[in-house]
This record gives sequence, structure tokens and C-alpha cells, in this order.
Amino acid sequence: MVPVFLAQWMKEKRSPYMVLIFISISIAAALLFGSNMDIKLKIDTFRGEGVTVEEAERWIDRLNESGAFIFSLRAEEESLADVRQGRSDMAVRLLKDDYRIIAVMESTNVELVQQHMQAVYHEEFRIMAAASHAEDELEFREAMKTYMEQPPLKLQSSTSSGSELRSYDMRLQLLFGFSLFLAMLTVGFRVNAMTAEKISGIWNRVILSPLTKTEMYLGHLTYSTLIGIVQITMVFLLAKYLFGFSLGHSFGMLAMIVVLYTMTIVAMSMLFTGILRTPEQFGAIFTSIVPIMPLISGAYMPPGTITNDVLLFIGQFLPLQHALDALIGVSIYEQGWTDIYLPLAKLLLMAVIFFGVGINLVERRRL
Amino acid sequence: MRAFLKKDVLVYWRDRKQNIFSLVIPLILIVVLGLLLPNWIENPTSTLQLKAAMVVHDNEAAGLEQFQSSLKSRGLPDEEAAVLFELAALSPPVSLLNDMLKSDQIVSMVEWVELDEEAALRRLQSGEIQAIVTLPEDFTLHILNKTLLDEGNGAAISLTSDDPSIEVGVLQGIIEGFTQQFNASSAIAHAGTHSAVTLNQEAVLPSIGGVETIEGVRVLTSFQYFTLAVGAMFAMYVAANSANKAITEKREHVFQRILLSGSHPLTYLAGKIVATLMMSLLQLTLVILICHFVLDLFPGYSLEFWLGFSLLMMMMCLIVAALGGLFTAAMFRMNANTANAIIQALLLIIGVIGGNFAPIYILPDAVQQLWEWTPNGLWLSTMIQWIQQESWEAAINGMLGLSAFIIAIIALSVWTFPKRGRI
Amino acid sequence: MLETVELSKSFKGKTVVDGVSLYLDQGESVGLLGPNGAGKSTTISMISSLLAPTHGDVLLRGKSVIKHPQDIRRVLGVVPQEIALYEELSAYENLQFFGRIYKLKKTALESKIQEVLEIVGLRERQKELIKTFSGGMKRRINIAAALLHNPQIVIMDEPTVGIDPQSRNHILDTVRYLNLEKGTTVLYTSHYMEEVEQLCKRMYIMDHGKVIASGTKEELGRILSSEDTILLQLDAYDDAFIEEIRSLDPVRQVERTDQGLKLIIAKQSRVLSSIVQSAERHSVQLINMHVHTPSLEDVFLHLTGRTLRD
Repeated sequence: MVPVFLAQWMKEKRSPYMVLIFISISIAAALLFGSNMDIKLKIDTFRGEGVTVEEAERWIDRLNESGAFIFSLRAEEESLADVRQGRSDMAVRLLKDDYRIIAVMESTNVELVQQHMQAVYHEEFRIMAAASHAEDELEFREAMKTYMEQPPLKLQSSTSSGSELRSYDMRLQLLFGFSLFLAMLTVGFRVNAMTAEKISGIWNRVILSPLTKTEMYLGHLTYSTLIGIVQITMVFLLAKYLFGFSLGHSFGMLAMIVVLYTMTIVAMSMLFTGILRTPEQFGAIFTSIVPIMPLISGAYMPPGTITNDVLLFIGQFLPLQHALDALIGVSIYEQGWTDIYLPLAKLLLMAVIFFGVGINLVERRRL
Repeated sequence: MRAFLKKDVLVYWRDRKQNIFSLVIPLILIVVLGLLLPNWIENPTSTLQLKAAMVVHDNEAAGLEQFQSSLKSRGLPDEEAAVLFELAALSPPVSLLNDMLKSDQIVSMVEWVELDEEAALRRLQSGEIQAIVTLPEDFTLHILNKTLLDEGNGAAISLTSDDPSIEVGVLQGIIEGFTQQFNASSAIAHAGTHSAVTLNQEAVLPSIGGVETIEGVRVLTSFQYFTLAVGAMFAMYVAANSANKAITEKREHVFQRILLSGSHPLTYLAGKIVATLMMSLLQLTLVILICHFVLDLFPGYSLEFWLGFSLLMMMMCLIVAALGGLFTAAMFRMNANTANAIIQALLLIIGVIGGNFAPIYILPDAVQQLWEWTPNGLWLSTMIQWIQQESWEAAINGMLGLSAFIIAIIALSVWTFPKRGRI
Repeated sequence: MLETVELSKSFKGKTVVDGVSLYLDQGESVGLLGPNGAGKSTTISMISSLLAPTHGDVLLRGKSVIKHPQDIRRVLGVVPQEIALYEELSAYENLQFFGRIYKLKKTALESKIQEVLEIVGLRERQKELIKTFSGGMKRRINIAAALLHNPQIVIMDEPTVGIDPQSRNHILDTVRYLNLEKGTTVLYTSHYMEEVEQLCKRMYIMDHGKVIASGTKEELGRILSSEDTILLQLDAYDDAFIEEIRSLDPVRQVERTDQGLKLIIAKQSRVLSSIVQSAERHSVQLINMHVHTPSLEDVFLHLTGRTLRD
């Protein structure tokens, strides 16, 4: 087993580019999208007829006080051009005490922006109505402002243990999602190297040696597993120590999930190797199926977005889904072993089944 | 060159398994995204489901009574006290909150269970419920004291949850919205105490807002977007497949034989490019036609529209063909695994930046700037404009840009491709 | 030492190897000849325990190895037809790998690697990556990798396909060295008749999955033993001369060619002097005379109806 393992390692050392490329992409992607998720969505606005710059700016300030959007004032032509070219999904025309959302694409956000703007406008209308009855409008607004600093009704959010209720860390989910996804590619290519060895005849040579088949598979598969684990671990370490992601406190559990996930991925790649005949077919088909998995597992979207029963059902068969659940459980919800027991058990079950069927197909092909 | 082309097309054609996969996968993906997105787009909260407990330590009636007696003990004139009490009884805060939380809109999303604190906490920990909303003791009294008498610090609703999910976030947002509105109202009342403003003057609000389209621009549906985006993405995978086929030829020394036959190496490359063009045309056309007939993608569009559409489809396939050449060249220049890693990485990156995996507007600004600098992004942008506006000017501008990409990629692949005697 | 009994293999109902029986004595060097698709590689795969036969048995010193492939694997070195090496690793690293999987101890392995490199003549280039090697050098390392565990039997599947003459000579020398100096038993498969003729005492000829002839070079030659061919180059044709030749007893057939006559005669008949005398009598000038004893190629052609390289 050891020599098979070492030979793989030597090959990797000679051309480490693949692993390096995938590691850098997972980091870059996690950073890029991770940083975006905290930043609010930008909405362009422009002035409609008879609206002065001051008026527009006042509305924009009010709109930006709360909510998930950042409104900014731009020239009409630019904003509309972006909408027309599909670069932004909407723009807002500010009218006198009114507004219109301009959209030419069905989009998630139009309805949300509409709700937010309506709430802000209505509140402001009430304040304006009240202020207009006040003797001194300025004094009125000032009084309101002081009052709002000590409002009568507040909301306190906390966890049951009394600690602060953090909002859902989408950045972390994306980091997990991307690193698990790209590990699939690395591991897949590594397992595929085994098929390549079969074609080149090295495999037969090894079979003829006193090395048992089990040792051969173990050598290859431990290597693939290890390289996957190393890749994910490197991304996690960089994320934690260089970019300050908070991965939770139980490193042991994270490690356990990563190990189990990588093993399942290796088993899945074995299954693919069993189904697809040549390393080329593997390269073509595996790589076009794998990018769909994070989509179906909902890795790119906030949890709860996917509600379609069919998708949820398919997701159950994807290792990524369960590993993601477990990682998020441990690092965001601070869950314990009893909570992540189920996803881990499912991963293990999948590993066993994929592996069993995969090896069977591979071995049957040989005779 | 015709011989090479025939060989490549035959090699493609024989690989049934792969052909079926490359047709079926994009179709599945379009359906998946189509199933996924309409819900997501049209009503972001309607499908969220949450089970939450409401724990009320406050007794509204008792609170009102206490408030009334405190008014008396304060020695306020009876008349004034009566007005204040009337105001308090008119819309006591707990009732307001209850009305809002039990409104049809909220109830369709949140299933409320009435529990005492202990039971609620137990269920929260066992995961049966996701959140607890608690109203503290003397909630009514404290609020009334603050709003009507400007005494004390008011009161706080507490939201307890161990699960910062999107559902809990939405519930939090709803309650926050309520507090914001409530506070604003009392602030208006407070600031306006000296004038004649009263709370119930808020009734008349003008109807505002609305969604408009730009004149002469059609609305792009999400199915149209995803059919194009996903179709183009998988067309680009055809380029990767071409390159993968080349590994076999490299491994089995077919390429050397081709060189030995005295053919120019670039004839081989040209054959690959044209074969990729044909396969991607076939694939993209099939995907789009199937989607068109199943999902009624472009109902009643003009012949002129289809003409421009076909031209643009051709441009995309030319891009794919050029990429096929580039990837093939890469395969010959380096270790197959490394080349594959680079190709996959490249496709992934331009796929994301080009908006093939997710709509471009949800991506960060920096990425949006790069959109039209990827060939697939430029194509998608041109195509979107064509569907929306059918303006030949925009389409031709786009096609010029795409041609530049095609030429550049082909030039790069010719430059990368091993020359005679280098293999 | 090694024997196969009625070895057969079918794939999906198609019989590729059909009742092949052959044997190898200790220290012997045996050739296995046959055109492409004759079933040579499949036979070798079965002998080396890579492939389970549909029928028949492989015996090593009289003991069946089908159920216990480990027995034969220990004494067997197989040089596969393809270059079964890691392109990305150096020659040394490849040998190190293949030595380790045979569980050689570190020091023993080191000296063994140097020894086999010496045998194939690539000691100077051991640090270089396989992918930088020429086809011939790759083939030599391919052989070296099969020798690390001191195999008593070496099976070579077309080790000289498509390489330069220098490497080819080297490989032939290696085979001779193994067989003659080290007493290794060799089973050598090839397309090239002359290689087998040079290297092997005995050979088997396979076609369509069957052994169609076997024996020493001489024994095989005798398959065509009943006849020889004589080519006569003449300055002119003379009907009387031709008639006289035809009437000679051992001559079975006379045919006119461009430059003279082609005679088919009984094997080892003493007819040459009669021909010369007859020519003198009819004043026909004999410009050239060539007696053609059938080569193994002819035997092959005779047996299979096709040439080896078909």
C-alpha cells in the first residue's frame, strides 16, 4: 500500500498545479462571494421630473437608514443603460413623493425593494403630515429624533443560553460550499488517475506483484482521500487565520466531517469510474455533473431557499448536502455530536454503497 | 481537413453515452433552476415555514388597570387621565402586536404555539420550534408609561432562537418592522404633543410606487435567462470534451501518425475546431428548441427576431469551437490532468463571471465589471438585449466584440499548438 | 517447469483462445509467434494469472496456479506490450516503485535497481523522467521493471515493437543474457520471425486462438520438407531443354518466369548436376541458380495463409 501511495505523491510533487489551482479558486471564490454577502445590494436611483437633488438625496438617506439595500443617485441614462444591458436588475425613478421601479428582467429583488420603499415612504408621509401641523417643523423633527433614541418598544434577540443571536453567516456557507465542491474535482481527477493506470498497464504490473488488490485500492484511495482532506483543510486554515472567518470551536468535529465527506467523495468517484469506461469520458461527464451538485444542495443560496420536493429529494443523495449541513451545524449553530450524527451516518452509508457498487463495476469490467 | 473533420465528428458521434449526458444534463439543470427560481423570485417569503412559540408573561387587562390606578395616584386631573386611559385602551400594545403577528400574512408563514416558558425552551432545544417570542412582565404598563407619560424606559420584546436561519431572520425583521412603526408613531405623537396632531390621523396614505418597464423593451423571463445561460455553459463543456478526446489521440499516438502523413499540424487543429462547432451547434440548438417547445420560451416572436437569434447562436458556437481549439492545444502542451484542471477552472471562472450559473446582478460589483469581458458574458448580454429590444445596432456591436474574442482565442490556440517537430 | 493444459478463453461467446497447450522447460527460451489477433496476449495474460481461463489449467511444476496465483506471480516477470510506467517519474523512481511493491528490502533494492539498469544499459540516465525517453529507452526500462524480483520465468509480450535498431539489439542482448548467463526461462512473443529464430530454441505458432504448429526451428522447417524450390536464370529458353528438365525424376513442376525457370523438386534430391549437364547439352547458359529452402516465414505462410505482419 505504501509504495502505491508514495508513487501518487511523487507524481503530485512533479506537477502540483491541479491541487494548487483548485485551492486558489476555492479561496478566491469564497472571498469574493463571501465579502459580497454582507454588503447590501446596490440599487441605482435617478431623479424624475421636478425632483431636486436635495429632495432626492433626502429620500435616499431615509431609504438607506434600514433595510437590505443601498440606494444611490445616478444619472438617468447610466442607470437605464445598466438595466437595459442586463447588468442590474432594476433602477428606481424618484418622483415627487412617489417612485417607480424600472425592471426588464424577472428578479428576486423587485418585490423586496417595493416593500421596503413603500414602508419607508409611508412612515415618512406620516411624519411629514404630523410635522406640517407642528408650529416649528425643525423642532418637531429634532424632538422625534431624541425620542427615537430611547424608544418605548425594543427587540432583544438572543439564543437560549443567553448569548447574542448572530445572523446567518452566508459567507461561511459559501466558503464551505466552494471548498467542498472543488475538493470533489480534485478527488475525482485523482481517482481517475487509477483508470489511467489501468490503461497504461501499470495496474496489471502491480497485480502481478505480491501486493494484494486490497492494498492497491487502499494505496490509491487513501491518497485521493488525503489529498482531498489536505485541500479542504488548507482552505479552512487560510480562511480562519488569514481572513478571520469564525469556524466555531470544535475542530475535532469539523475534521471528522471533512474526513468522512472526502471518503464519500472518493467512493462517489469510484462509482463514476465504474460507470464510465475511459478516463476521458470520466473527465467530460464527471466535470459537468459535479458543478450541478452545489446548486441542488443549495450551497450558493440561503438555507430554506430550496423548497421543491423533487430537489430536496435529489439533494438527499448528494454527499455535499449532508457535509454542508453538518459543517454549518457545527460552526454556526454550535451543535454537538448528537446533532450531526444523522448527516454523518448518511455520509457513511453513502460511502459504503457507492464504494461497494463502484468497485463491483470496476472489477467486473476487467474480466 | 475534411478527413480530420469526418474523423472528429465520427468519434463524437460514436460516444453515445456522452452525447446523451451532454443533452440531458443541461435540460435537467434548466428545469431545476426553473423550479427553483420562480418561487424564489415571485414571493420570497411565502414558502418559508417556521414554528414558533409565544410566551406572554404580561397580563394586558391587569396592565391597563395598573396604568389607570397609576394615573390616579399621579394626581392628574380626571379629565386628562380619562383621555390618556382612553388612548391606552384604544390600542394597547400587546393587542397591536398580536393583531400583527396573527394576521393572515404572517400566519401563512409562522405556526404559533402557546406555551409556558419552560415548555417553550424545552421544545426549542429539541428543535421542535425554531423561535420563542417573549413578552415580559408588566410589558403593557411599561410601554404605556413610556408612550403616554414619557416615563421609564419602555419594554423589550425578546426573540430567542438557537438557529439563525433565514426564517428566524424574517420573523426578526417582521417584529423589527413592527417596533419601528410603533416607535415612529409614538415619536410623532410625542413630538406633536404640543400641536394638534393625534395618532389616528395616519389613516390617509396615498398609493405610491409601482413597477414599470422601459418603453420598447420586453421583460426577460427567468426561464429565458436560464435556458440561455445554462445552454451556453454546457455548450462550453463541449469544448472541454473535444480536448478530452484529444488525450486519447495523444495517448494512442494518432497525432504522430497524422503528422507523419505529411499533413500540417494545424489541419488537425482546424478539424477539431470545426467538429466542436458542429457538435456545439447541434447541442445548443437541441437544448434551446426543446426548452422552447416545452416551456414556451419565445411565444409569437417575429421572424426577424429568430434571424438575429440564430446568428447569435452561431456566434456562441463559434466561441465554443475556438475554445475547443485552445483546450486541445493545451492538452498537447501539458500533462492531461493539469490541462484538465486548468480547463475546468477556466470554465468555472468564466461561467460564474459570465452569469451562467447565477444572474449577473446578484454578483459583486467587481465581478459585474468583468461580465462583458468574458466571451460568454458578452454573448449573454448581447442576447438579452436582442430579446428585450431587437435592436440590430446593439446586436451588431455585440457580434463585433464576439468576433474579436473568436479571433483572439483562435490565434492563441494556433500559437499554443505544438509546431511540427515539437511533439 | 510451466505448462498450460487446453487453455481456452471466450469473451461474450467469442472464443479468443482455443485449447492452447504449451510447456516451458527450466532454462529454456521459447518463442510464441502469430499474427495480430491470434490470441497471444490473451494467452500470456492467462499464464501470468491476470485473466482467469474459461477452460483449462496453468501448471507450475505440476501444480495448478489458477486458484493460487501468488505462487506463479512470485517467480514470474512479465514485460507487458504497453509501456507500463509512470511518465512523470524518473527511471530510478519507477524501478524503486516496482521494487517496493515486490517488497524488496531497501539495500537489496538499491543494488538490484543498479543491476537491472546495467543490464538494459541505461544506468547513466536513471535520473531522467520517463516522458523524456525515446520509445526504445522506455521499452528497456519497461523490461528492467520486470526483472527486479529475480524472476525465474520472464514473459515478454512483443518487447521490440516500433523501436530503433540500437535499442532493439540491446533488448535482444538482454534476453540472451537472461537466458544464457542467468538461466532464466524466457517466453518471447513477437511478430519478427528473425528475432525468434535468433533467440529461441523452440517455438509455438498461434493463429485464430489455436496452436497450429510447434517445435524447434528445424522441426518446423520440415513441415515444408517435402519440397525445395530452384530458380534458374537463363540467357534463352529452349523447349527441348525444358522438356528434358521436366522429365527428370525429382522435378515435380516446371514454370517459366521472366528470366528463366522455377522448378519445384523433391526435398534433398540430388538433381543439380543433372540440370547443369542438361543445360550444357542444349547449349543453354545458366546465368544463376538459386536453391530456396523454405524459411519459417514460408512455413507460417503455408500454415496460416497470411504473413506474420498481416
